[in-house]
Amino acid sequence: MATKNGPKAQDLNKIVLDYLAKKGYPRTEAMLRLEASYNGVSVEERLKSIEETPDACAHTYTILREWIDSSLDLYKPELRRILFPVFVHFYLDLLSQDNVEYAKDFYNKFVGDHIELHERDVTALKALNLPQHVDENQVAQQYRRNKYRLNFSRITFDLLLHFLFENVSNGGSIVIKLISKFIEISIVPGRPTYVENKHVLSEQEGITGQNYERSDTNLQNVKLSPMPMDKEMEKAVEMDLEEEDLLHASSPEKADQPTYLAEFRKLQQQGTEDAPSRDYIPLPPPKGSDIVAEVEAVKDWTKRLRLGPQASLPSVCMYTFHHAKGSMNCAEFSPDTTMIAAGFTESYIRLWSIRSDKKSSGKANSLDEGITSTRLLSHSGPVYGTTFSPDNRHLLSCSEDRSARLWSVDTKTALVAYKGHTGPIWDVAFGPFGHYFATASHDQTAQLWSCDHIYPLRIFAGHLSDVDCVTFHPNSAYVLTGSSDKTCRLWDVHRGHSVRVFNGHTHPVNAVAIAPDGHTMASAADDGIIHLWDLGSGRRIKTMRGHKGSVYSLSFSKESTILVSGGADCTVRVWDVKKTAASETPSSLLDAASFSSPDATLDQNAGDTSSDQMVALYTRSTPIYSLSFTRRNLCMALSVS
Amino acid sequence: MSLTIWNTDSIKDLAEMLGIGNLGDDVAKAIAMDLEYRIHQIIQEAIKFMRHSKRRVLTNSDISAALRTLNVEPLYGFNSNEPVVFNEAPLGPGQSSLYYLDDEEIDFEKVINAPLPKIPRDITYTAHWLAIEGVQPTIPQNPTTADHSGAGGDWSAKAGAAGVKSAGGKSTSDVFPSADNVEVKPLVRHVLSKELQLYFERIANALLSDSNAELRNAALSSLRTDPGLHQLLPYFIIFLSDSVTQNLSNHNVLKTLMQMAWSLLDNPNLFVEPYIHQLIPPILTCMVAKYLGPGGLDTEHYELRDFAAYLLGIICDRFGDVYYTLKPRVTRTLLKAFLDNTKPFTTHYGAIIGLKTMGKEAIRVLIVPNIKVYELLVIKALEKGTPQEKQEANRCINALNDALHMLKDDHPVGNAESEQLPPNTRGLLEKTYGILLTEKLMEENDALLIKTLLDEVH
Repeated sequence: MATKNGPKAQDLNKIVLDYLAKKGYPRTEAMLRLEASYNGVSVEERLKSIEETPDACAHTYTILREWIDSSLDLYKPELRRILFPVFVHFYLDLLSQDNVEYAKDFYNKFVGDHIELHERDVTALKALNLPQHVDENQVAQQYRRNKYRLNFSRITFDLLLHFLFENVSNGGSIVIKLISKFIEISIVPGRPTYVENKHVLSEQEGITGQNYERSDTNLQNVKLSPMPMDKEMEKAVEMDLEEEDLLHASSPEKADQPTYLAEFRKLQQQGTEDAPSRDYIPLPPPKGSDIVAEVEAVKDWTKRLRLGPQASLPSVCMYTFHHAKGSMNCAEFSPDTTMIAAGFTESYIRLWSIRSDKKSSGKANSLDEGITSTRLLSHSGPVYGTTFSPDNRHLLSCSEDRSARLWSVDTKTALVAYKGHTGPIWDVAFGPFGHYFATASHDQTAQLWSCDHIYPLRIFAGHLSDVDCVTFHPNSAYVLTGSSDKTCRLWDVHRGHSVRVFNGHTHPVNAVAIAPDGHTMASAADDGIIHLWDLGSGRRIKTMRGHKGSVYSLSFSKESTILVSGGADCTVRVWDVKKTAASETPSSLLDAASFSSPDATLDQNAGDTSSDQMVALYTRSTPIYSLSFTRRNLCMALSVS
Repeated sequence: MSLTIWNTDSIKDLAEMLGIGNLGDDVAKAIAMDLEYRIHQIIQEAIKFMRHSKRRVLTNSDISAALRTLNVEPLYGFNSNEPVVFNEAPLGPGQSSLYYLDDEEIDFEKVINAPLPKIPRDITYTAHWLAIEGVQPTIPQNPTTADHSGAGGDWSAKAGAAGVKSAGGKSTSDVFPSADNVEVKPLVRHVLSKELQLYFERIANALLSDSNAELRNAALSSLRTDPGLHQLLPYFIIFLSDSVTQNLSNHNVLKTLMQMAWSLLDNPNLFVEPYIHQLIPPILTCMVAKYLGPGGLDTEHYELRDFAAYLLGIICDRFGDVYYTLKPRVTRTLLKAFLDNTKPFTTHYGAIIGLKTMGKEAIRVLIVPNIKVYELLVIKALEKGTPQEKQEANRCINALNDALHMLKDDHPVGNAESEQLPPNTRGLLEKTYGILLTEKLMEENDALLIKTLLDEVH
């Protein structure tokens, strides 16, 4: 087939290509290469051997995926999008060529990459078995007849083309053909991270006109109601509460208030139908102290401040740390707000007791300081996270040294070192009933541990980048993680699977929180945007804008009506959880208009504040490190100056 | 497509440093491209460490940590906080110059014998209410609304992951990053808004100008009532003490300044407590200075001294409980002035009225035992002093007399009338209080007071 002109044409092409490369016209160059690959007979001939074999698809897909996985985080999310159309079309190609076995192999091997985002389509395509099916099937024809739309930034697209041409003899040509035939790539100006700004993946990409409704029936069922209490414990708590009620019955002002017992029963009855069973998550039997704690919790619940748009706004008590900027990495209140634990770059943890302050507030603090704070030494790297156990008796910390450590608050000594991660651990969270805890690490996994085992019980693998933050669902059956891959995932503790993926952030997720009612969660990213999600449906409820820097901490009020957030922009913002986008004011419609314009930059949008922000509280330029609601709905805040 | 930030020349330079003389162009290009990728990779990792340390500045330790996670040995010797300084070596005309790092030899002796660095300040915390039911209380720990009032919250002090510009860049003056209260955070530079600076200037001019009394009064009343002056308070205090030292001969200005101090103390919105130690010296100056005003036989300065003493009394009353060292220190200063016989009578006068405001205990313990000795000084002045001295000495005696009258109040009324004064009253009084004062007391013939004073003697 090779004509005499062939080599000459190739030489000419090469000269032109070199010229273009020298002049820096990458797109023209790419187009030329693309077109040359059609005309250049010799290239095609050379490739024939690879293209013909049915292995080629799997091989090409594998190297493409490997390359994308190893590319820089900056470009990864964009590049990853190309995988899905390539996957679909390879599969359809194989089917059309009547290589059903290969097609099935290929499908089973790689379907895991797409099941979360494109579940509906991949399940539909799974049914195909014969070449004729491809012509008949509606979904397959959708992909065959329409071009799959993708938005790429220029740099990312150039990178992709560069890679494909480098590997042109290694299967790259197939992908190039596929791209030109089935994929419509539109170049979006700007840097890669800004391109997908404000858009959810499924809104932006895909076949025009195709409705990307994720079918709810295919979502794995989640049980989001509170864990039912142990029957015996319930009885014991009820008895104690009854006694308390009798004690208080005599006082007249209590007469019109509901009794503790009634309040407790009401709490217990909430949404029992989709609660996880108690043996789903094995827990140690309740102790006497647990009953006492539960009684206290019920009392606190009845005495809580009512917060919400109809009730009052929260009160915020701020603890400001001085001389700690640059060395303090994290800080947290104990659940009973008698202690503060802070992790430092210098590998130690410092524990402050703040109880004495209430009594001797007038005295000079500096005198008491020596007595009320302790340094906990044991880590060999910066400490990035601390968490108190629900009973306030233990403290967990995690560090760059790849270990998490358990401390006794009573004796101020280290008890256990948990070593299982292969990278620095970014965050640690105690379960709502103690006993279990979860860690989030640089090694792209989150792990579940119980305090009495030195090895992890579950490894939650699936995130594509660092897992930055972790928190437990209030019923202890699920763990929520936020990651640098810009997604959050909900994991089933029992099975160790990911049951929900929340995709929509455009920056690494810094903080996650689940509302005490167990049905809503909030996630906040580096760019200060907070998303509110419904855990049951996996859908986004709304987006809250207002912060102008990283959000470091989120916390829901005990009634789940109010969300507070705080971060690097030195503000604490209070958000109305229930107010939905439908009731937004014209100002936010204006937002929407500015997003749709293509050159809307982050700068402009950052000035806007969502209408559901109830109040913004400013500090004296001290970034907020931690926020938490006490059981009586007082908001405790920590900042560092 | 191979436009990397690293040009092949620098790669070749580096190769030469390692002893590879003839590096091919292709190789250099390939290395340059790879190098850029590696550097991106390291920075990407390092930024993760920065983020998790909640910092906005990438440090050397972040890079080291990133290298460790990438299984590369960290670079040693860059962990100091000093910036890295590159030296330039010109290669010749037309050629770009070469930059290099100095690799200094370190003398171990020196390092070992170097004094230990200062111990960093201990980490402490303070607690306050950021908000009560969603409303920020106006306490010094919270910024004032002016600090972030710009519409839409142009709060850009440390804003933005992605460099947030203040909208339109129009509101520059009123959105200065909040200056921190000196008391809370001494390390932060105090930035004043233009409006406040202007206000300060106007007030200062109004107070120092002799001519316009109306304006002066307006300024004083503004200081007395206006909220939101807190940021200016330290500046006013400094202004006050500076002006007092500069205007010792200008009686009117001193008077105005004392009124200013009064206004500051009176303003319910100002938190004067941290500045008391700066406020007291000018007030003391106005009490015990040798000359105030034009001098000579002018008597107006006594009014000023009395007024200053009154202010001192206010301060000691209000803050004496919080600063328990305040009263003793002031008293000691005054006592020293009182007992120093080289000082002129004007100073003594100030000291006496000052001690008088310190309360009965001070009079009883500090003045009464010293009257007899002090009288000698007065008598000497009365006998052979100039007319001015005589007048001043008389003032002092009167002031002492007033001080003694202060003692009267707390004596239980009733039984004083019933008791008769002992026959040798005059003698007893003279023993302690001196001839001059006894004379005055006997003239007044206030039985109650004399009884009190006699009790004092015993």
